[in-house]
Amino acid sequence: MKRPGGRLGGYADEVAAAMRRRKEVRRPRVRVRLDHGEARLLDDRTPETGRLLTLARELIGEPPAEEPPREPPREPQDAG
Amino acid sequence: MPASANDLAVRYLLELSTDIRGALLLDRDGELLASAGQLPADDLAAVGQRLVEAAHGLSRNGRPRGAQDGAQVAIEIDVLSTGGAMFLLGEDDLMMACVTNRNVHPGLIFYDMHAVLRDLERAAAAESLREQRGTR
Repeated sequence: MKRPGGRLGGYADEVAAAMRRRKEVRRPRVRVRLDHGEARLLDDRTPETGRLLTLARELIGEPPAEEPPREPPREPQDAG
Repeated sequence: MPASANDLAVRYLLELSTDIRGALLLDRDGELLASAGQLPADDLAAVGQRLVEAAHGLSRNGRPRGAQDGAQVAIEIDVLSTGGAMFLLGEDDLMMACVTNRNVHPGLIFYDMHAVLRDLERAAAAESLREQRGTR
């Protein structure tokens, strides 16, 4: 069957999907499995997730929280 | 001082997988039994205690239907962070945590951790059997 976007369109779709998957995997997350049950992802906003992420960062040796990068204070420029 | 079975177990885990940077072994009360490898946390005992508390909280909330109150729930937690991953496994009376780089297969890491905890249990059972025979 011929694809609507042609061969190049197919490649572009695949690359976009791969990029999307890569981005998803990179997001910090916590997954839990109890007593051989199904593994489930914890909601990002729950306190357990925050607590476990903090502990993981401490053990990994990574800075505790991601703060937005601060811009260095600008020096006043001389008008002349 | 000769290495204890717990020390040997965490060192063995590091040998099983080159992806594992560091590991620690705790009892279910949060006491640190052994650690090995690169674990940059300042106070490992306190981190271990908090890990066990967090795992207890999760296993209480997600206790399977029919599980008895006193029974220990087996728990597997994997945390993916920007700089690496942390895995926590609780079985019977022991908990084991390890940190790895990000590009690992969680199933394989848990497989190795299960194997090491099983070996420790076997060693403890053999030791108690030896003690019983020795007292008779």
